[in-house]
Amino acid sequence: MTLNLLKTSSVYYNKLFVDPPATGNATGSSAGVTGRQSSVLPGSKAKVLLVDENTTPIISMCYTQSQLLSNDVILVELIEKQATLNPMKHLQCVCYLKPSAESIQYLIRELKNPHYNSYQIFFNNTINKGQIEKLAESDEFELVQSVVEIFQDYLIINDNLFTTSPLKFQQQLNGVGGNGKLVDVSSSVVSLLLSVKKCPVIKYETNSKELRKLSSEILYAINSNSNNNLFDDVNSKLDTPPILLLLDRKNDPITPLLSPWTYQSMIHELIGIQKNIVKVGDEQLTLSEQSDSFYKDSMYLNYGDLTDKVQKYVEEYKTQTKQTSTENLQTKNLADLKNFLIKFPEFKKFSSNVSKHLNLVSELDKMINQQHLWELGELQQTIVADLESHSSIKLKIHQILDNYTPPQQQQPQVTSTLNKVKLVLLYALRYENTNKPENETDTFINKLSNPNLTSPPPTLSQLLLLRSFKKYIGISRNRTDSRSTTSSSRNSTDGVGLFNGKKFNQFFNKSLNNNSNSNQPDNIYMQHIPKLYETLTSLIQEQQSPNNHQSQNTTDQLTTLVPEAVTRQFGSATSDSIQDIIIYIQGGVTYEEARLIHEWNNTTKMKLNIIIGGDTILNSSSWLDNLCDLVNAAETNVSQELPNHRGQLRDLL
Amino acid sequence: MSESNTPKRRVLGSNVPSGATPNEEVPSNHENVLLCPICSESMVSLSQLNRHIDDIHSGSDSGVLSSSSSPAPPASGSPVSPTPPLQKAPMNREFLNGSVSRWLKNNFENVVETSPLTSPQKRKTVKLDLLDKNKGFSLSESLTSPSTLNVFNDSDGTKEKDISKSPGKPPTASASRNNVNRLSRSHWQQPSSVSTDYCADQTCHRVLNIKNGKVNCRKCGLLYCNEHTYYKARLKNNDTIPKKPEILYEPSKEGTWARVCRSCYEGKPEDNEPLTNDLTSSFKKQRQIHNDQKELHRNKVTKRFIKLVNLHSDYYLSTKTNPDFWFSSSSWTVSRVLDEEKQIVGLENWQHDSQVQACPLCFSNFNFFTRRHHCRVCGRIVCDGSLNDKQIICSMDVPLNLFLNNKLAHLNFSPLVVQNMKELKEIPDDNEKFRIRCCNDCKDDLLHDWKSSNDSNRDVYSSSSEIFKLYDQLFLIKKNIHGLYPKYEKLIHSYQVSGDLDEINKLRIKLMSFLRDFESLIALFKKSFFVLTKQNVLKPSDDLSSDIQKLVNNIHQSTTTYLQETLINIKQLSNVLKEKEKNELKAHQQYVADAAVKNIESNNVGGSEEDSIQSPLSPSSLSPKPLPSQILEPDLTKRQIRELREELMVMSEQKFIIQGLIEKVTKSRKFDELAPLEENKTELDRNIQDLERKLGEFGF
Repeated sequence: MTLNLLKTSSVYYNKLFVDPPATGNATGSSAGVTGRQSSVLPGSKAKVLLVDENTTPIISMCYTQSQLLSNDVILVELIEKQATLNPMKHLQCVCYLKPSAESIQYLIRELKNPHYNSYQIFFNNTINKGQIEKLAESDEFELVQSVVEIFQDYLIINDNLFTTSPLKFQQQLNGVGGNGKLVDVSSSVVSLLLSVKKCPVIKYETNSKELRKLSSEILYAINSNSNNNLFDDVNSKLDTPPILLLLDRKNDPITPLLSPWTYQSMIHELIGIQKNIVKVGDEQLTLSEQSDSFYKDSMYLNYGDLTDKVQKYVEEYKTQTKQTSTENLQTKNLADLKNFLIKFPEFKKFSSNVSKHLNLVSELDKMINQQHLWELGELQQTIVADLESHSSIKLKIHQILDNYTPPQQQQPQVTSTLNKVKLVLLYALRYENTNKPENETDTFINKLSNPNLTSPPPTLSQLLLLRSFKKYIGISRNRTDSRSTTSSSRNSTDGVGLFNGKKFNQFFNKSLNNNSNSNQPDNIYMQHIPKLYETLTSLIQEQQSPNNHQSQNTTDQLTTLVPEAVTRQFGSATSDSIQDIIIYIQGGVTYEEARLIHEWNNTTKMKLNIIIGGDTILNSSSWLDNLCDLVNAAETNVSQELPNHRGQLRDLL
Repeated sequence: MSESNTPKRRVLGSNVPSGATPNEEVPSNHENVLLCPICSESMVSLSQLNRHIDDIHSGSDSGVLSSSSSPAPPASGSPVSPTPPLQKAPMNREFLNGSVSRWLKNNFENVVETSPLTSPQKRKTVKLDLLDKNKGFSLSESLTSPSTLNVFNDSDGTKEKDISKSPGKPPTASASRNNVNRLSRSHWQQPSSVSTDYCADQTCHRVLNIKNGKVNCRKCGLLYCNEHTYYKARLKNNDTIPKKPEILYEPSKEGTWARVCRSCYEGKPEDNEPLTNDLTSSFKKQRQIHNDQKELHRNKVTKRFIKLVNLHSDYYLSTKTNPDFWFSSSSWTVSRVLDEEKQIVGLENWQHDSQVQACPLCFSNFNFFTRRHHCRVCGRIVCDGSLNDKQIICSMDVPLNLFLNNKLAHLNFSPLVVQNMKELKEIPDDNEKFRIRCCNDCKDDLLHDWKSSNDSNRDVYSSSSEIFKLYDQLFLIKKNIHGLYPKYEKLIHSYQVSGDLDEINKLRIKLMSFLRDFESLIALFKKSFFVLTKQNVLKPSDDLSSDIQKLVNNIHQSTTTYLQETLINIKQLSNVLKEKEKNELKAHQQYVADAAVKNIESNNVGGSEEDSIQSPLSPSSLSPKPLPSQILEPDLTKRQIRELREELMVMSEQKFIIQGLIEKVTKSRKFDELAPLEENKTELDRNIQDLERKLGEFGF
């Protein structure tokens, strides 16, 4: 099946609420409420939905309250509050739970002491035999009508973007005792694979120890029989084995550091999206590709195109209001009034949507001006994509660190500490191989810590990060980074580096028209393309021409694990062309990468299906925090036990 | 290649100077020395070879060559070796082509009936076809007859040449070898020789030529341009039906990668249902096992309980007369009761204090504050749960009469108990004697049957049961609407001729009455569970608990949105219907107007307008419309028609007369008479119109 997460989830929720498997009628229950046949069970009544804290966000991100209501689900309860529920024997209970030990325990208690009429139990991941037995044991009143595993132990952000069930990021990075977390991530990924029916060949970045653990965990889950051999024939309709690509964020620390310039990424960067909810002022705005067609069309647009689009949207709204304004209505006849009233709910939706997006865009605009992002963004891209000479870049950084006054303005332009830190970090990453006299990282750090120039001064861990990032995120890179400091090799086709600005324009030739700063046709704010692009291209090229050993460096970077089921079906030859790729970035994915995947899927005209995900969705500040945590934790460890230094590092990387 | 070249190389070795580059055999061969493929005589130039073949080998000596096996290997090289020169020396192409093919025809009819000599142009198509290993090309294929088709291995294009070069191997053998992976081509669309071909893709429809490519989709066999066969799928032959080959998708290593068109790629069977795993059956099986065991266990527990009750009522009844029992001489002592209790549980089940360190139910360790207690039913040691904070009471000293009162009164107790049942039941709860310690598990076991029989009927909250009563009614109506609505929708959408209007109207009446009921029920619901606050906001009434308030709110919201949606949908549907009716009416009017050639003015314009003006908000739009069907549906018998027509004629005559009169009156200026005449005339007009409407298409 195609990799389409939203469709998958809607089928699942149909199973949950509309067409319970107990009835077993395979009528592809047609759209919405009205189309539903009267296939109501004789005893079918109002329903209560029992969820746990893990499944609550999963369901709330793709299913709305009104959808629930229209399916006669009139009550939603948390199973954690099981002891305090009111008995309502009139209600049928639909349980949607993650098969965690706690939830099972609560469910057992609930079954022993039932509050509702009957139970349909859905688990969002595989449940083991022992758990089933315990449940069966506790169902003394025989109220359970069905037990079904559906596989949705992950959050769907966009149609092609997922995150694994929320975890504490820090625990993962510090990851020494994090085996439980690892299993959690792996089971979450496995549930994703099962839900889209893919039994993949696993490829992971060789230099990451975490990924090696994770991949072997996933491979074990696929190969072992504990899942009732679910993986055995999921591929039966596929021509070629799908690929699960596991990447490590630390191999591309640049992408999340940059200020993005497309709608969804910008909202996350500047305002913050939490489970598809954005808080602007006191308002809570829901962003969903599913229910908001304007958002669907504009989420990947860059800022310039976006403002055009919003303007058009507002224009459209204005013309509609003119048509239907109340003054006009009085002069018109009743038939028009009737039409208006019929359309009124839609119209109301429309107007609230317009105001929502206007609100968002104006907030974005405010933030951009407040943080001087036009200048900063340009400089960031200049550093990363090497658009100007080293010395002029240094000059500009100095200007920003010195809070210079731009020629037309009176006030000195003060950049926030956070942005300054990001900028210096970018510079340090970019010129890490340049030697001392040229490389002015230290000067920059000194300027940063000068309280006269920077207030509030950067935190200690931020400074620590700037000084010693090399040990933590540099090492892994040095090995693979074939880029030399000169820009000449970057133009050669096989340079796999962090900075690949030039190729970007060949691929996405988009222009930002309202950008007055640059006369170039290319969008100067989007010069950088994530390393992901490079990884994917070489992966695909390598597959298409297996004899071509030019792309050797990816084969070095990626290690391949092939599950038994795949070998059984396709043989050991893996030189087939790729059709489906599932990417998981350990350490967090960015919306920018999701956009890249989206464009990719579109350009290849359904020959390639890619979805992407990570354990969190990063923006620059959360990534910086994570990096600081990483460095901090490592430094404290190092100071405590020096002899273990090397081992620690290897652990981390 | 190597296989067929070995003999040639041997020959070469004898003739060619050692300087010839060994890895470019064929070209160097042609540049330096040309060998006659038949007699191995060396030639200087191509034209010389040509002439040689023409002169020496033409026609006459076919028998020698085709029959013996030894000349075949050198001969086999010939169809290939001249081809590269073909491209190099285009001047000679025509000439060579003719001669060699003639030669071939003569000599190789029995071996391979094919023409490996494709024109350079055709060769080029092979090279274009880089996308898959399935390198056959349509043009040459089309020339070959079905019998030789299977000689060519589809999985490897080079085989094509190989086979023709190695006739030492019988074709049948190679066919059987290659047949496994070969895709059938008999269904391929042949490129037409007269007209140009177009890409079969709907959006493309390009002329197919060398530039655009001319490729058969391996699955459906149609011809496409290169761009539209840029898809791959694994395919295989359907071998189950012999004779009629069919290409199937085969998504495993058995399948052969092949070029397919977009529609075949998209048409690949897909599994669009995300995976679910139904564990119900295994769950129920296990539940069965457990519940059977538990049933047994419960029986045991119940038996023990009966014994306990018997024991204790005996004890109680015999000691109650003597309140001073501690000092009495009666045989009942506390230790005896305890012994009896142990007997009932079974000595092997009665746990020793030293064995148990923690309560098996709440896992708290026993100590000075958490005391050990024996459950008298199962014999386990449990705590009394007074200290743990988990809200679970592990065991209780339960007054037996609580059990007896209504929950377990019907059990098979001893006659003594049954006789004194009434008295036993009335023992006050705080009595110290008639009670046993019982753990939570045993309590659940004892009360299981009672619970399962009673629970479903019991509802703690009277208000919630009220709510559900109303909700059930709402639900029922909703179900009815659900059932009717799709029918109604279908009828309206399929509405064509005026025939089924009756049914539509009936359905609408039904639907509307349901909706009205629904609405009034919602109103009732609102009235009973909601209060209007001072700010004019509806709020669930405060005497409901917060949970119930939430419930009530949700129900209200869901039902009202449902009502609104359905109403809007129905209104839209009736708009659709009206639109359709209007169209039909217009068509009808047209017809009537055409038919009524006479001076009858074009009539009922009113009908349709009346319809649309009808107030949209008034309840009348919900109720069935006044039937315009009368106009549309002159469901008349012949006799009625005749009568009506006669009437109409009379009317028209009268109208004619009156019109005459009016004219007269106006001429004579008797205006006072004019008014009644006019009135008369309009009345007649109306009548005529009515009649015509009734007659419909049966009018004049």
